[in-house]
Amino acid sequence: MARFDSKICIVTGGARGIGEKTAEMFVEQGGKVVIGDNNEELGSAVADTIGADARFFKMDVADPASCQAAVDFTVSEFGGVDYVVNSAIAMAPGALKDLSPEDWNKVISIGLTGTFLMSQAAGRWMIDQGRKGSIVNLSSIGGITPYGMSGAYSTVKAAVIMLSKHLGIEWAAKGIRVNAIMPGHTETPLTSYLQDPEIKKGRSEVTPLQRVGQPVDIANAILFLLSDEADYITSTGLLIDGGLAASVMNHLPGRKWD
Amino acid sequence: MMLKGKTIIVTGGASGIGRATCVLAASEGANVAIADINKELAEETQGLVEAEGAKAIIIEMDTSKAADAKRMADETVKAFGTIDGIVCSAIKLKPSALEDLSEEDWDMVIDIGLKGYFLCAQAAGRVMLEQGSGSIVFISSIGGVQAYNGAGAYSVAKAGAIMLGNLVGVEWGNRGVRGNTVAPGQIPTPMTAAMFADPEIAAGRAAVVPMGRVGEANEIAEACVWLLSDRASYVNAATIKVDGGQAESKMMHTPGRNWGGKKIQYKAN
Ligand SMILES: NC(=O)c1ccc[n+]([C@@H]2O[C@H](COP(=O)([O-])OP(=O)(O)OC[C@H]3O[C@@H](n4cnc5c(N)ncnc54)[C@H](O)[C@@H]3O)[C@@H](O)[C@H]2O)c1
Ligand SMILES: NC(=O)c1ccc[n+]([C@@H]2O[C@H](COP(=O)([O-])OP(=O)(O)OC[C@H]3O[C@@H](n4cnc5c(N)ncnc54)[C@H](O)[C@@H]3O)[C@@H](O)[C@H]2O)c1
Repeated sequence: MARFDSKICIVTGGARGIGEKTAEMFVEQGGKVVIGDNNEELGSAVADTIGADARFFKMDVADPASCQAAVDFTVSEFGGVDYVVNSAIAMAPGALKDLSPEDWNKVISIGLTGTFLMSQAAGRWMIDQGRKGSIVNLSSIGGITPYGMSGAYSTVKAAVIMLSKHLGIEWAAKGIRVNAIMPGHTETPLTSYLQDPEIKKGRSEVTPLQRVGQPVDIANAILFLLSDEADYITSTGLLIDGGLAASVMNHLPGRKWD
Repeated sequence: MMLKGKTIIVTGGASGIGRATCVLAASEGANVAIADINKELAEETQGLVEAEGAKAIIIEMDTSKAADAKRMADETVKAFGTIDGIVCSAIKLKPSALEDLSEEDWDMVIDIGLKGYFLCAQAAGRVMLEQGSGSIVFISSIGGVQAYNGAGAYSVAKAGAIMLGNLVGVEWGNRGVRGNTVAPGQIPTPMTAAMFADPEIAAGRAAVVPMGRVGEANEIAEACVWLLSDRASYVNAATIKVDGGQAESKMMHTPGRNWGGKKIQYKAN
């Protein structure tokens, strides 16, 4: 029996990057996936490539009706929902001094409110059905240490950690586990600047493991937290960052103690 | 005056941050017990305290010895009648790569930097518990929240100090004794003098701090005195970072931001 036999997962932001890799590996390991994304072109192509156990559903995570529709679609296509991975994000970087309310709201509504709405829609269904479940939310290293010039991003990602813990304690007794993942520098379309060899080299060097992460590194951790192997893990966060967050002191020049 | 009439012990009070704390506490009206292994430097601190018009005694001691810690408390009570606060600052560094670190060097840093904190806090704490009031402050470090590579057992001792501060606060808080920790960033003191003597290192070390400069011993003393005082009467099991923002600066060192095609040169200063 495969790891995710008869399990059904919704992956928001599944049209590319970490979400795409997670959807692909989830199906490889026996599950069925609905890719919920607002990018129809990419999302339907990914679903086609993965095959018969994948569907694309065009949605906007910031819209509660759309999140509800994603749950309804998943139930009608596959018969239920066991897992949710909230990976959708849009960026609006900028100096806080100059950040517009629109840019602030955009990141908050997709990254934070979207994570809440999608979790709520799926969680309500699971609770109504008395079905166990697991939800994994994508936070970031930027959620535990401020990511200068990223606009509302760090604030959203910190809030996603608390939202995950909060959902986790409210739903623990119902058998629904909720956790966050904090990736470090990861090579995806979102971080296309890593195609610049100078930036990639620099970002590799600031990471103790001396490389940037790949979507598979993050997807492996997501699948673990979804699975029954993590049956006693809830309301926590897991850093997958090659040691990045612990390495501030690497930037201190000079070690001359005597 | 924030510490008028209070008696404060400062371990490691002969030098650096400990000395600055002795002098500031004195200027805020405290009697000061300078607990240090270095008598000569302690006498200099004593002179500075007396120049503030306050009283100071010297307790020549090794903070890692329980008998010395007991004597520290006894002599302070004998001189000033009680103990209202203690700041544990004594340290000795033994930097090394972990793969080369000897058992002796590990033990020395843990003995002074962690066991010594416990022994001195316990000896002074017993007096405070009896009195029903007191404030205990441990000097940790940014190295207690971030792994200080190359510093041997230092980071581990400093992380332990934070937990010890929390533990004191939790065990003794309901008996009037508060426990807290101060985590300094980079502070030029005799301990770090060799590094800051090198202008390139000094400039580099200032540049990695969000505020663009290193701190001063007096800026750490300010946090200690506040925690010792009644102005911090509900602050317990807390850690105050006094580091110019450095512990949160990792992403400052991430090269290249060109979200949306626009390359952002991120420089804090
Ligand atoms: N790549 C990294 O370095 C990194 C680091 C830390 C955290 N993360 C987090 O991991 C998650 C995935 O990141 P990624 O690098 O794969 O990003 P990505 O940009 O490659 O993928 C994000 C997906 O979200 C979709 N999306 C955007 N707005 C949407 C909306 N309103 N409704 C539905 N879908 C929407 C996009 O179409 C896209 O397919 C994000 O939450 C991100 O913050 C990424
Ligand atoms: N200077 C910094 O940049 C910095 C940064 C973070 C934390 N700290 C912490 O602040 C505290 C004070 O550091 P500093 O820079 O003032 O150091 P320092 O070397 O100037 O002073 C340390 C004092 O401790 C005394 N001491 C050493 N071993 C002793 C022992 N066994 N018993 C009694 N006294 C002993 C020394 O004689 C000295 O007077 C330490 O806990 C240190 O880890 C310092």
